[in-house]
Formats: sequence, C-alpha cells, structure tokens
Amino acid sequence: MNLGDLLRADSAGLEREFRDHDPADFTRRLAGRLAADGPEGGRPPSERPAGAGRDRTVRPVGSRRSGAARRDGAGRAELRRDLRHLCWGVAGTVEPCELALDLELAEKAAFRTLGCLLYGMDRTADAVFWWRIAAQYGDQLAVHCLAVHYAAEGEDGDAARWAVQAQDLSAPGRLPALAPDVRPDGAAELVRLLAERFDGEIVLTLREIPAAVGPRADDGRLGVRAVRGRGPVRIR
Amino acid sequence: MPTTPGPGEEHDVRTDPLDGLPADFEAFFTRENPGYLRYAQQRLRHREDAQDAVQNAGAVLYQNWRRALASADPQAFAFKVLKDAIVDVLRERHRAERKRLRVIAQRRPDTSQDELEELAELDALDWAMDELARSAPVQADVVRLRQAGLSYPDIGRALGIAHTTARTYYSLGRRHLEYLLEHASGGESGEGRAAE
Repeated sequence: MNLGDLLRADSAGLEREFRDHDPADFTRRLAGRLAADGPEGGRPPSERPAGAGRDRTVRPVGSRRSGAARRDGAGRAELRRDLRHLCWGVAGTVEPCELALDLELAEKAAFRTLGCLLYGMDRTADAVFWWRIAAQYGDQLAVHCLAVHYAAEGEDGDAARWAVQAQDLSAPGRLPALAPDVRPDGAAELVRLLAERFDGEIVLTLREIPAAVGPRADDGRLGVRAVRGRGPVRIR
Repeated sequence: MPTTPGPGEEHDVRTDPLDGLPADFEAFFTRENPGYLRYAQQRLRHREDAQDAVQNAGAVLYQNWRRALASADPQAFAFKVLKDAIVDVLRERHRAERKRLRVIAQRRPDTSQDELEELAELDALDWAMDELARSAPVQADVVRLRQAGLSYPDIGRALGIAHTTARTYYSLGRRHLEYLLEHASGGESGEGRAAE
C-alpha cells in the first residue's frame, strides 16, 4: 500500500469511527459536565451574573499585549523547529560550488538557499535579509520562509503581509528537491566550505561568521560531495 | 398536581445544560468538535480516549474562553488547548502501557493475519507520523488535521500560518512521510527505529 492509499484508508477509518457522532450532543455532554463541576467554578468570568460578588475587570484596549506575547510559546517554538528542519533540508541538497556560482549570477534560488543556510545556523537576521532579496526576485519558498518566520516570532503584521504574497507550492515541480535525511550540522559545514574555498563577493561575507572559519571537525559527507567530479572550484 | 415551590424549597426545573453555555462558545465548540475528535483519534487511536481528550480540552477552553477570544486567533488558541489535552492522555496512557505490556508478553494474541497486516500498516503510518512530528511538528499537524477533514484555511488558522503555507507544508509533509515509510520497509535504520 503506498502513502496515498494509506492516508486515504486512515482518513476513511477516522470518518467511519465518528459516523454516528453528534456535534451538538457532544457539546451538551460538555455542558453537563461543566454544570456538574459546580455552579461557578467552571464558568468563564464574562458569564458570571452581574453582582455575583466580584467586579468584572476589563482590560483597557491600550493595554493589549503585543503579538509576540499573545501567541502561544510552544506554537512559536514548533514553527521555528519546523522552519529550521526545512532549512536543513534545503541546505542538504546543495553543492557548494554550484551555490557559490549561482550567488555570483544572482539566482533567486541561491539567495533563498543562503537564507536557509544562515537560518539553520541561527543567524536569523541575516537569513531574513537574503530571503527578502530572494522574495523580491519572486522566489516563493523564500516568501513562505518569511511568513513562517514572522509567525514564529509573533510578529503578526509582518507574517500576514508575507502570507498574502505566499502562493501554494504543492503542485508537482513547484517545490525544490530537499534532503530527507537532514543533518543539523549540515548548514554550518556548508557555510564553512563556502567560506574556505570560494571568494565570491557574497560568499566572502560568510567569513564574518565565527563558526564558518573554525577548524574542520571531520571530513563529512558534504565535503566529499563538494568536490565530486570536478574538484574544488574557485570563482574568479 | 404540581405545586409552586415555596421560599427555601428546591426548584425541580429540568433545563438543557446547553443553556448554561455562552452562545458563542457553544457555536464554536459544536462547529469544531468533529474535526478535533478526528485529530485526537489520529493521535490516540482510541475512540473513548479521543472523546475524553476533546471533552477535557472543551472544559479548559470554556474556563479560558475570554482569553481565547482576546487572543490573536481563537482557533489557534483552542488547537493548542486540544494538543495539550492529548498530551495529557498520552502521558497517562504511557503509565498504563508499561503495566499492560507485562501482561501481553505472557499471552498469545488471537488476531487474524489480515488484521495483523492492517495493524502493521497503520502502525507504520503512526510511526512515520511520530517521526515527522519530532523533526517538523507543524508539517505533521498539517497532515493530521487534513486527515481529520479540516480545510486548508481552517488548518492555517489553527496553526497560525497562511493557508497556502498549509498546502505547501502538506506537500512537504507527505514527501517526508513517503521517504520515512520507504526507509522503514527497506532500510535497516528505519526498521531499527520502527522496532523501538
């Protein structure tokens, strides 16, 4: 059974399981439980009868917390984790020499990849900078990255602005290839390789990242792939 | 013949419990609970546990209804409450499971071969979904909510992302699941993890 069949079977199973479900009756059951819990205990403050002993305090409009404070912390952490995983997946498919060349040629996908590399290394502000440039060039995955990033940071206005521009990429061929078995240290390793071996104008900026010029930890898989078939390439 | 109760006597008036709920809460919960139940069932694979989780989530949501309404999006707030309620059930189940495993280890299962194969396939999907949730939790939730029958705009609101991002994440999530399932059935590391 392939994934599509499996998901369809699972979905049908869920549908079958709750075919007899009555949403109104389920809510009634909840109401009964809340009533049994006590006359006031479970009642939301707004529904307490007037004069029930406590003054209703209404938060002034001006005192509303910022978007960051209002959005739930765990949700934001999940959005960040997910975005980091996506970025590692993007970084995992990249040949350093091709990326270095594409950056010189100002390819929008390369700007997006650079943003993902930097996000994967927790260089969030730098990542946003390159995603914005990629988005300006019309790279849709960069637009999604920006929308998710701002949502994860609780900056609802910016998130909404990018969300409006984000297009559905689910159609075949619209998403780039991603490395499925992502390695968390892949982004740092790739940045280090780029910084060490190439001297394009944009790549040179990576040398300012301390982790990119540190000693080589090991000869990882990415280092091997970088020289496959053609050896280290220097631009210019 | 019924008489009007006097002062101090208890009233015996049967009312619909729904009358005690705020109308907006009642409408919200009634609209959302079928999707919540399917999502909970997808995670818990047990009808009564799923119902308990959604009821518990409903109770917490009711107590925090004003906060939900004041939040950026009540659907996102409610979904977080639901996820917490499911985690509570999973924690409780984990405790019970350790006891149960000791009993099962001493008994031969009387399940047929077909049922076993079906369970194995479902188990593989659950395993892949859990793996996906560990590394890309939002993608996993998008797939689960889609399985539960929610529309992309509703999924987007529940997770705080654009509906187009929800579609894109669904596609990414499926791609990851496909890889994980292929890996689980063909690769040795996948088998090892599946057996854990």
